[in-house]
Amino acid sequence: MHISEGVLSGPVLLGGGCLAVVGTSIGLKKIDYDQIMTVAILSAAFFIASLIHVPIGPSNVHLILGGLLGVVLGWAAFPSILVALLLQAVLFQFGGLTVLGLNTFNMAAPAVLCFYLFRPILAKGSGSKFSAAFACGFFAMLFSTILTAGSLALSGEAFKNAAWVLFYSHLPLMVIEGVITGFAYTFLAKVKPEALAV
Amino acid sequence: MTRLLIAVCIAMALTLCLTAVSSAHKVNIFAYVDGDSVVTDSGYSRSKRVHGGAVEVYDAASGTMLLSGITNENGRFDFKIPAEARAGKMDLRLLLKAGTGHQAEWTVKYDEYGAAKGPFAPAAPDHGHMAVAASDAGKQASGAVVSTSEVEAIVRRELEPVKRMLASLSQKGPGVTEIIGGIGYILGLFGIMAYMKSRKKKE
Repeated sequence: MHISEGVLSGPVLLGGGCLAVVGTSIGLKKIDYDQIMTVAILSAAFFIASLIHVPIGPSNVHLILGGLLGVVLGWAAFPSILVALLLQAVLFQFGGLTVLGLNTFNMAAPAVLCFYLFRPILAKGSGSKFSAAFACGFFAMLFSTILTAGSLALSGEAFKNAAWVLFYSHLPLMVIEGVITGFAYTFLAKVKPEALAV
Repeated sequence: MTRLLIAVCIAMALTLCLTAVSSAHKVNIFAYVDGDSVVTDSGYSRSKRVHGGAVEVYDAASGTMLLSGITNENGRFDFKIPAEARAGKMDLRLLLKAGTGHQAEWTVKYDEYGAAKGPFAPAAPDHGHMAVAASDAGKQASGAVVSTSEVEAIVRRELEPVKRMLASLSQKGPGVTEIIGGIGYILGLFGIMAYMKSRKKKE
């Protein structure tokens, strides 16, 4: 899901960067003192998750955990993902520094969106917590795919092609992400519910 | 205390920038010259190769595309060095497009293939004849005579595994150092943030 350097055109990179800055500044405002460690630990989890490769199909697919960050952190997912992506770019050569803003937006914006979509269901306690968290992981990944395909399309690659390739190669991953997010969320709700109170 | 903190931040930022310059791609392409052709090797990691990725070959100076091709199942794509590249002494820029936003590049300098024997390089056989002529006298004495082309073939065969090794070395994935270091950075950065927020809280 990381877009490499040199693929996208300048305006797309700039636009992504601006959106990422806006999201990050909102996120930073929303983080309060007690939440910092949660943000840090999830950032570390996101950082590591990309190393866990899932051997499916021809594409190179790895975990992202955007949904988990979204449902737990809300807007704080932006700074959290930004830091993790920065270190991935520098240490692993995943993505790159010029694409950092856009990659951050592509992964953090769906996380925040899912936070608003599914958090009310989770907060009310009606229905299964697991399935709501599953949906969060699943849809965060799906929206990320669409955003990535969109940014590739804006720079010339045929949207339909890129979108289908990304969708098919990431479909199993969406399910896996959903399951992981579901288990992680229900576990946190049982063991450390105060960490989820954003 | 604040001064120390700023110093630490600057040092961290500097180390980040230093490593960032080297390369920033997720896919890798590596190429070496083998006789009159160039062998390219592309992969996401050592075990995961790029199959069906497009490799485009450009003249590094002018940016015109010379040829393009598709990698096979092992991420390999071989091409004969074009005559115009040899004539124009071009550095070849290889651009790998693995699709869905994955891209990497590698440069083959003219020096790397210019000296190698081309398909119609006239200079090399002369040495061969000379070696043969000179050795005619001492043929009975020494027994074994090796012509230039044979030497070239032997050297090429012996270097093949070394080139493969270089290819795999140039594509090494993140190691434990990077992973642990990354987690350390994350905790450190958020630790600084916690410190800042705690100061604000006190005031």
